Amino acid sequence: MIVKIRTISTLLIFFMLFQSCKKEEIQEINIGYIGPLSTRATDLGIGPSQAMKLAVKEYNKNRTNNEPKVNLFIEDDKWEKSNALPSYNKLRKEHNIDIVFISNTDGTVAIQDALLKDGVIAINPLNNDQLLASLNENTFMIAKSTEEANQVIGVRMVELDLKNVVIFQYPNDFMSRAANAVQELLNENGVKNKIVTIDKEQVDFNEYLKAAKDDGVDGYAFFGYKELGFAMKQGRDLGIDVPYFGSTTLLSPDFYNNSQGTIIGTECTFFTPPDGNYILAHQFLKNFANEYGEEPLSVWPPMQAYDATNIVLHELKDLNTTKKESETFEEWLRNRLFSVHYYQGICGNISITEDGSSRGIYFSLYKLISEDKLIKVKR
Amino acid sequence: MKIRNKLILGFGIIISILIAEIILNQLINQKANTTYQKLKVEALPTLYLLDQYKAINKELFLLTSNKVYNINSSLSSQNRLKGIIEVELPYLKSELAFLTRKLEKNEEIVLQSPEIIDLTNEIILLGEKLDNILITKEDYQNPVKLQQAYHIIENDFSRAHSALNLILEGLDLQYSHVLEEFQDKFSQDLTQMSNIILITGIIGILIGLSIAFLVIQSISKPLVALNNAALAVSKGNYDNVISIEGKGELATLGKSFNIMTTSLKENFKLIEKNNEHIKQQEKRFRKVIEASPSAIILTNAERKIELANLQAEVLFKYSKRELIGKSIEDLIATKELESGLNFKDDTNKLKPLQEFYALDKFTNEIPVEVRLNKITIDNKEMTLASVVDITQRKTQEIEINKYLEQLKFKNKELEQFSYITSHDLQEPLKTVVSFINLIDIEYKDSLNDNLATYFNYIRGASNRMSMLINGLLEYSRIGHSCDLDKVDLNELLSGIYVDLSHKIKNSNAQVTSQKLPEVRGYKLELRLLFQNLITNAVKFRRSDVVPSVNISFTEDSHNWIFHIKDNGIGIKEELQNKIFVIFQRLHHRNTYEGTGIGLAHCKKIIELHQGKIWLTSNPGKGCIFSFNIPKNLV
Repeated sequence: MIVKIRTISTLLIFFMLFQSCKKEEIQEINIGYIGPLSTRATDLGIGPSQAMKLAVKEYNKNRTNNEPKVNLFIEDDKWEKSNALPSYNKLRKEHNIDIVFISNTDGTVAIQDALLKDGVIAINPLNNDQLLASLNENTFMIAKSTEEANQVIGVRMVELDLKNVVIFQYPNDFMSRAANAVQELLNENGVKNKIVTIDKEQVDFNEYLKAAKDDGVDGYAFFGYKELGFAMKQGRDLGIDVPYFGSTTLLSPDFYNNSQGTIIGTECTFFTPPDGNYILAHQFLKNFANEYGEEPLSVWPPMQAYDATNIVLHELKDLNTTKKESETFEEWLRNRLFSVHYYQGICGNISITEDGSSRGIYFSLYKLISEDKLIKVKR
Repeated sequence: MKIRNKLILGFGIIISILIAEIILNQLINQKANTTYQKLKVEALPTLYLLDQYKAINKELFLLTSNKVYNINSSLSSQNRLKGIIEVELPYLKSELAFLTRKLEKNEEIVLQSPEIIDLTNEIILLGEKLDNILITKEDYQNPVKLQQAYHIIENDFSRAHSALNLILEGLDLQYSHVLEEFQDKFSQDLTQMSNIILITGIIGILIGLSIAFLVIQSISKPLVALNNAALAVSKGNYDNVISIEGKGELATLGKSFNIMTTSLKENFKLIEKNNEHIKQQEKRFRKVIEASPSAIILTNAERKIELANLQAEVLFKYSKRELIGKSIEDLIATKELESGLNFKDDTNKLKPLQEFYALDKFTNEIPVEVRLNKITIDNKEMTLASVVDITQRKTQEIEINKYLEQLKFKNKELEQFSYITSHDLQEPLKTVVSFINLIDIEYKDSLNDNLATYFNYIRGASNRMSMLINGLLEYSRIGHSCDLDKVDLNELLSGIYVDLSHKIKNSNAQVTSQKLPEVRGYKLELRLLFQNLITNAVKFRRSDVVPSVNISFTEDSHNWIFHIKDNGIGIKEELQNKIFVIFQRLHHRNTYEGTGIGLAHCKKIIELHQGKIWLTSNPGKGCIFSFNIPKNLV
C-alpha cells in the first residue's frame, strides 16, 4: 500500500513538473478598433468595424484549440483627433488590448507615445501615407497609398487639359496630403491651382466660389466630407458648370444630401471589387450582406479593414507555435507583420514594407452617376 | 514433434519471410521516399516558382510596353503594373531566396539566383523609372520624356527582361528534366517495391502452403485414425485399439482414446447389467400389476389411458391395445355421465372411493368400485384407478335389502299381533276377574274353604295375567306415542322423583344425580326408561345397606352416555345376558315382585333411540346400567 502511494506521488510530481515546464499558451488576444461611428465620416468607421467583426467571427469559428481566441472592442472617435487617445486609453484600461486598429491619420499620430509605452501594435486600415510611414515601428498601415490614390485626380485634371483649379480641403492630415499630392502634380504640369482650407463646420462657401468663378476656375476638387456637399450645391447655384472632383470619401449619404444631387457627375478615386481580387472580394460582400442585411454603401473602407484584420489574424494563428519565450508579444507580432510579403487579400495581393506601410492596393478613377452608384472612367 | 512446435516452426518461417519482406520494403520505401522528398522539396517548388517568375516577367514586359506605347493605357493595367513591381516581384525574390536556402549549393538555381535577383531588381527600378516618366498625357506628348521611355523599354528593360527570361527558361528546362528523372526514379522505386512484394509474397505463400500441407498431413493422419476409431466405437466396437507413434499431443490423444474405449467397454457392460436388472424389475412389477385382482388403469392429465392390466381387459372386454389411448369417459355408463359423475370433491380433490356403473366394450353396464390415486411419473400428473367389479356384492345387497324389508314387515305384523292379542286378551280376563269378584261377593258365605282358596288362586293368577298383558301392551306401544322432541332430563327426573317418592321414602334410598343435558328423544319413553332403571335400583337393594342410586353422564363427539349406578345386590356375569329378555326373571316373585318386562322395555326404548344399553356389575356390591343416545338423533 505504501509502495503504491509512493509510486502515485512520484508520478504526480513528475506530471506537475512536466506541466510547469510546459510553455504557457496565450488563450485570448484583445483587439481594439477606434473609428468614426457617429458625427462625421461614418462611412469610414461603421462599415470597417462591421468588416472587422465579421473577420474576427470567422476566425474564432474556425480556430483550433491552440490558436488564441480573439475579442474585438470598438470605440467611436467621431473622426476627431482629440478623441483618439482617450478612446485608446479606455480600450487599454477596460480590455487590456494588445492591438489597436485606428482609421484616423491624426488619431494614429496622437497615440504614438502610448503605443510604445504599452507595447501595443497599431494598424491603420484606412490610410497609408508618408507621414504614417515615418511613425514608430509599432505602427502599420494596411491600406491604399493616400498620395498615390489622390494623384490620380491630378493626372485626370491634366488629361482634361484644365488650366485653373481650386481644391477645397478639410483641415486634417489625410485631406491635406490628398490636396498636396494633386497640387504637386498640377504644379509639375503647369496647371494653375489653389488649395482652400475650409473650417470644420463650414457650410457657406459662396464667397470662395464667387471669387473662383470670377477667376475663371475650370475645375473644382472637394477633398473633405459632408460639409463640402453644400459647396457643390452652392457652386452649381452660382452657375458654375465646370467638372467637379472628389476624394475617396465621396460616397456618403450626407454628402449627397447636402449637395442636393449636384454631386452627380463628380469624378473621384475609388475602389471596387474589380480593382482587387474580384472573386474573394465578391464573396466578402456576400458574407457581409448575409451578416448585416445589406452591402456597405462605400465598399473600400470595409474591404481594406477586412484585409488588414485578416492579415493580423492570419499571423495570430501561429502565435502559440512560433512565439519564443524570450520574445514579447509586441516584438513577435511586429516581426511577423514585417515578414508579410504576399498576402492574397480581397483588395489585392498585399505586402508590408520595411517602414510598416503596405503595397498592393491601388485605387482607380470613378464617376458618380447616382446617389450610390459609381462607374469607372474610361480614358 | 508436438503440434505446438510444428505450428511455431511453420509460423516462424512465415514470419521470417514477412520480416525479410518488410525490411526490403523499408529499404526501397526509404529510397522512394528520398526521391519523393526531392521531388516535393526541390523539383516541384522550383518549377512552380520558375513558372510564376516567367509569367510575371512576361506580364510585366507586356504591361510596361503597353504603358509606353499606348497613351490611353487603362488605370487598371497601370495599377496591375504597380502591383507587379511593388508586390509580386519582391515576393518572388523572397521566395527564391527562401527556396535556395533549402537547396544544396551546387544546385543550378542556387548558382543562378544572384543573377536572377539582380535582374529582378533592375527590372523593378526600370519599371518604377518608367512609371515616374509617363504619368500624364502631357508626358506622352513630351518628346524628351517619350524618347527616354522608349530607350528604357527598348534597350535596358528589354535586355533585362530577355536575360531574366533566358535564365528562367533554361532553369525551367533543366528542372523539368530533373522532375522527369525524379518521377522515373520514383516510378522505378515503386515498381521495384511492388516486384519485391510480389516475389516475396509468392515465396511466402508457397512456403506457407508447403508448411501448412506438412503440418496438416502430420495432424490429419492421426486425426483420421482417431475418427475411424471413434466411428468404430460408435458402432459398438470397443476392441479397436489405435496406435499413433511419437510423443506429440495426438499420440497422447490416441493413448487417451484407447483408455477411454476400454473404460467405455467396461461401463457399457455395467450399463447392460443394470439394464437387465431394470428389465427384471420391470417384469416383476408388470407381473404384480397383471396379477392384481382389481383392474388397474393409469390415465394422463388428458384423461387418456396409458396403462391397463389383464383384469382391465377382462372387466371391460377390450384388449390392452384398444384400451391404451382411449378416453376414460368411454368406460363409464352414459347414465352416470349424464347425471354429472364427478371424480373430485368440493375442494377439487380426488374422491378416494367411488361406486358407479362402468361400460364394457359391448355396452354392458357393470357396477364397479373405483379407488383413485394421484401419482407423478416423469414429472407428469397421472391418475391411478383400481377398479373392482362389485356385481356380486350388489346382488347380495339387493337380496339383503329384500330380506330386511321382509323382516321389518314381519316385525310389524308381530307387534300388531302382540298389541291385538294383549288388547283382546284383556277383555275375557276382565270378565273372568269380574265374575270371580261377583262369586266372592254373592257366594262368599256359601263357598267352602277350599273353593275360596281356589278362587283366590284364580284371582291372583288372573291379576298377574292382567299385569303381564298390560306389560306386553305397553311393550308393543313403545315408539308409537309421539314424535322426537327436545327433552330436559333434569325436569324429567324431577317428575319421576315425585312419582317414586313413596317407594324411595319407604326404602330410605338416597337417589342423587348430576345436572343432566337436554337431549333429542321420545319424552314418554325416556321417562319410562329412567323410571324402570331407578325402580330396579331401589327394588333390588341389599338389606344390610342404605340403598344408594346415582345418575350421571359422560359424552363423546356423537353420544350422550348415561350411567345409573346402585349399591344393590348386583348381577352375576353369567346371568347378565338374560336380563333384557322379555318376561325373564332372575328371582322368584315372592322375593322381588315384578313382571320381568321392565328391562325389556328399557332395551326397546334405547334401540328406539338408536342406542345401546349394557351392564357392568359386581355381584353383592351393585351394578351400573349404562346407555347411550346419539346427540344428533334423526
